Amino acid sequence: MPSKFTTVLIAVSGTLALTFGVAAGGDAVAAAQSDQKIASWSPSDLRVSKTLNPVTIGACNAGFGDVSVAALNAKGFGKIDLKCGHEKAGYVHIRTRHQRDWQTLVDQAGGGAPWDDLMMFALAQATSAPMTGFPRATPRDANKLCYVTPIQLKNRQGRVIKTFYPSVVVSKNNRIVITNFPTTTPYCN
Amino acid sequence: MQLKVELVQELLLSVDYGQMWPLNDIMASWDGERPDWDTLITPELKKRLREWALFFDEFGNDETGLFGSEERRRWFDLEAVGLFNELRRQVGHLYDVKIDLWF
Repeated sequence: MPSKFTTVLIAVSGTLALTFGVAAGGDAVAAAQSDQKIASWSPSDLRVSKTLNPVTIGACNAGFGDVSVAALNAKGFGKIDLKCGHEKAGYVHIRTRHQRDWQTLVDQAGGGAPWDDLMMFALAQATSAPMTGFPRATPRDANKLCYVTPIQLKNRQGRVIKTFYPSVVVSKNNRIVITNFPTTTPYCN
Repeated sequence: MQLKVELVQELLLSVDYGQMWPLNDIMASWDGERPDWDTLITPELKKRLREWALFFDEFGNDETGLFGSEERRRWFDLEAVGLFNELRRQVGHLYDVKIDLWF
């Protein structure tokens, strides 16, 4: 009996989080993807995090790995999802492994914005408008696709602080984002 | 009298999917210019670092968290420790060398 009750709760929570995640986060990401001219980010923009649904992130924190944080249209490949995932892949993996890298960039631009606003913006840009030569398979694994694009990091006054390259790795089998980390030069090669 | 404290930059040995160089100097959050590794470490160490990252790309499974065999897992872990020790020996006077075997 207790196990049945638990199952129902998980199903309801998962459904709610999934619905909110795609409807809210998906709109902002789609908006970012539709504007091909946007290749810069500033802490004053806050394009994505206003709609990064707390319920979705709460579901990630609660261990619902299959919940979608955002649905994206990856150039040359089609629909993919950034799912909550776990320590090995997805939003939780990116947060665990690279939150500090993303937050450092945000702080270099003046701070005052959450790390995942920049991470999500860079993810949307890289997958929708990858630079020439991308996407391409990672060197030793044909099942992993890598998307890279340059992003200008600007401060609140609009001055360019630096240009960096998000490296987004996608699992072709599962159509999910595995990781996304910011590098100084195009990587995955 | 003023006391000047100069912090030593952290050099992190770790790897992620698609990361073909397993040190954090490639990250956009790295403070300052990238080190000129050709003058700082031996060609052999440089090659081993890249091979270690490529090994992870080839065998690290994001779904299972496994390498496909215990032998591969052992090689990955032992090679990581060997690389960490060698990095400390060759550039430990310049950087605070750390290791993160998360996989």
